[in-house]
Amino acid sequence: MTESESPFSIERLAHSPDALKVFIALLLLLCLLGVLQFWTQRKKGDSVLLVGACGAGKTTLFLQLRDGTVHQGTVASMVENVDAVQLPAEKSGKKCSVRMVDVPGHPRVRSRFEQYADRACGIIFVVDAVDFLPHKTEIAEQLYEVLTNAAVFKRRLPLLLACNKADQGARAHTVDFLRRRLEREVEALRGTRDTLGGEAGGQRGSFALARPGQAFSFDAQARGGGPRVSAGALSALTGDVTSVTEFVRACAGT
Amino acid sequence: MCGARKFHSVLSDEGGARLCVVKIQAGACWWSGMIDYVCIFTKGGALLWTWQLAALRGLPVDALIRTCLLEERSGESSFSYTPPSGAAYTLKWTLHNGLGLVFVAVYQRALKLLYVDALLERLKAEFAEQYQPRVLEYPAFADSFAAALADAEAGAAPSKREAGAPGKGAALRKAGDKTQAGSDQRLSGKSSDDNGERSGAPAHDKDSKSGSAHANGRALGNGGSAANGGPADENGGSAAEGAFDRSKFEKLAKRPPAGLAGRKGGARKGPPGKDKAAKGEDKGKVGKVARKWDSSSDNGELDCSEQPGGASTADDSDGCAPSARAPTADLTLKSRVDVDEDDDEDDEEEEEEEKEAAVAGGQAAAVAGASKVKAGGGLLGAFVRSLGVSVVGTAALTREDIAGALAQLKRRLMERNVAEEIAEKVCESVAVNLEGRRLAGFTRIGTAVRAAVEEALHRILTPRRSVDILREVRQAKARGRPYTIVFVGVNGVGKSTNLAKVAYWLLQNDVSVMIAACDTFRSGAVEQLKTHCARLGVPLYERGYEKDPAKVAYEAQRAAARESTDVLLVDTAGRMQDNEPLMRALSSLIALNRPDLVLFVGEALVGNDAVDQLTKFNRRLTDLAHDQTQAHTIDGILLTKFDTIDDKVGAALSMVYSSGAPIMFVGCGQTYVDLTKLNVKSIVRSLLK
Repeated sequence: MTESESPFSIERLAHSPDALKVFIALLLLLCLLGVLQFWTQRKKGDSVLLVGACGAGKTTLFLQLRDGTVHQGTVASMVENVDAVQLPAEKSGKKCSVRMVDVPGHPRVRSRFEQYADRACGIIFVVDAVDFLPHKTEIAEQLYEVLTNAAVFKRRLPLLLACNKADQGARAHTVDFLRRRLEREVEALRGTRDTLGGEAGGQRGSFALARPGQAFSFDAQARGGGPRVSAGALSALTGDVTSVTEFVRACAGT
Repeated sequence: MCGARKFHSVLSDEGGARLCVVKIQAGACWWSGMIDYVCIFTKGGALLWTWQLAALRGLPVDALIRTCLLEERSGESSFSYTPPSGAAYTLKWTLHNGLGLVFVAVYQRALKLLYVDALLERLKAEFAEQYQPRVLEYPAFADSFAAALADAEAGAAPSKREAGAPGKGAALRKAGDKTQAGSDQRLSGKSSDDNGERSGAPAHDKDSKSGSAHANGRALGNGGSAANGGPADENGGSAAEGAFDRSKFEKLAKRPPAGLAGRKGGARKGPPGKDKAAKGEDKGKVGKVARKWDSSSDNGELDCSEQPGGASTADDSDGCAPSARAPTADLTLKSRVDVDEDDDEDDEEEEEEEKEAAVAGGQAAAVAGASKVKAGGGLLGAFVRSLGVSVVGTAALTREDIAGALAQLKRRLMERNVAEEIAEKVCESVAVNLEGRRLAGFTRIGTAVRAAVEEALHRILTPRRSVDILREVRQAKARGRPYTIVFVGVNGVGKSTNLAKVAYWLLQNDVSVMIAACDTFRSGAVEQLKTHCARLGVPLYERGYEKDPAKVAYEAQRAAARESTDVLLVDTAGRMQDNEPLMRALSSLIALNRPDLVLFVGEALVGNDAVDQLTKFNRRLTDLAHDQTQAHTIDGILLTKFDTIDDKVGAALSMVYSSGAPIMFVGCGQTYVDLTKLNVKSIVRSLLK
């Protein structure tokens, strides 16, 4: 032991047996932790991701689901919010707990989504139903990126188009309208995106969202083995979020 | 105070004066008319505590986050925000990275407040004590804030206040009446001679509204003050008076900007009416300017575009095979833009990186170790420290801890040809974001710093706007007009060559292209384009060398529309960023033709000059525009000669950071296919290698 000339003066450690013991104990603990983590990671996804454009109301929805109130309001997020969310008990069943991840919508930090996608069991794509038309292209681009993400596409994660701000009455577009417009926009993107290799955001598995020559629709791509997309209206501000809680329950249950 | 606010004319001066008088009467010093808004929120975006004096116009805080904090500009000291109407705000902020909190103060830019930084620091210290991770409401913080604000004001203000003291009540009222629109407002504004109970009423009113943020501006302002008045009630009657007087002041403070806005709006509406006439004039003017420099360079007799043999005599100066006889390019080869790149060639690279990071970490830790008092831990602690690994629960990072690792990273960035200014700013921003953060168990400081820099670089280089040109082309096509791209840049960076490459790429994607030769300055420029066009089988629009480029581009646009071409590529003359007449010509070209995309062509070889080029181009384009609000600045960057620089890819970072525009294409070779997209990951990798 004394002969071993390691850079980190092991002989000094050897002289104080206490420190050595502590060191070994620490090492063991570390191994144990590693194994535990490995195990938990092998399990299938346990988190629901909130994604969407800046200002769509993701953080508001996150707070609403977690605390049942939006407190003082929100500003643009810089980092993701991650927390366990307890959904209120259903009439029949038990409480349902799920890990909720609120990914910031700013284009510069949007790509953080990818590192949470592996653990996801469902995705809530929040759309601002009031301020939709001026930003429809960017929203569709983001949706396209989510849908063609390798982790999402391969595992056919369920996706909810959450049309937020339904509390604004007639100013909010209907769920049907948003769905159709997004289908059209994604269709338009499909034509151009396929030609862009070496994507700016780095490598990304490119998946055909529908067969060539076929118009894109959420149903068609679900039939073709893509993510299953459903849609629902909600209002994160007033707390009318039943469509989301149902979706989350379905994700966590399956 | 008045002295500091020349800008705000009579009204706000009056407000200030009034305020001071009232202040003396009430004897309560904790409120102030200086800062409009203070808020504390988590980095996740949940507001924890807000304090509002006057209703904010627009969304300054969101703007701060989106355009400053998320753009790696947190190292800057203040941020200026111009709301849709009214005078500009200045925002100051401070971050608490350990707890992930952001403290922001908003005030009128016309005020030069010197105590805001100190105030924010104090708030940070005090709030950190109260903060609990899961609690999102801190009504009790109002008291400590009030005290802090009073102290800050008292420390900073006395000299100013004397200047502002002489009251001019009558003038105030007159001015007030002038700007008040609603009679209701006037009532409350006039009867503002102190009656304490009136302040109670609005306060309750607002409480019941529970700060609904969409009430009218005045209500919002009052709501804010009422919310603060609530907890501060312990201060007794003075507080009530304070609340009232503040509400009064708000109105006063708010009015002048509104008036200003009105005036501005009116002024702004004026010009568009005369827009066309103005444009006509401008055309004339531009013509004159252009002619001046055109004639000064004696290329009159060199204009060979009229000679029939012009194209064949032009030499192929840009590295295409000299066998210019071959009439067409081979369009079957795939442009490299469309070829997927494989990204996973770097396992061993990563290992190397790890090693280097370890070295960096070791050095950083050594620095840290030297600067810190060795706090306990004995042998084991020393051992762990020598590894530069932080075991669970290290103290928060300080500047000294990260200085070593950061300096090293900055040097590395500069070795990779990043402009010094930019490297400095990025590192500063990273330092601001790291300071106070606690490391997770078993992390090296060097690794943490490196990861933070990597993330920052990623964030900077990731485009903010869509770079999907094809999609935009299709949209323009649907509207039945050609999509116009203007190529600008300094001399000799390869504008024409890369224009041809872009044309080639577009042709491959079934888009019809026309090229406009608006370089009417350099001899042989038109012939060069003719050769490209002949090889690509693309129509060229040219009017020789005499013409004003803005007009040529205009006519080309109409020709493209006539022939229903999808894309018009406009080649312009190279110009140095300091060349006033040429920049003026460019600005008028852009103003006249309203292109969809202004592509700045810059060579990757450039070092510190990249920043200068881009900022000056952008500034000239803004300054020389006829209507500054609609100035069209650089939308995207085409980085050329990328194959010649090996791993010195710093220019990419410098250009993107200094302009905010994304890199849309990268030219990386001599042939038509050598055009690719930027691969952010590989750039970041080579920057930090």
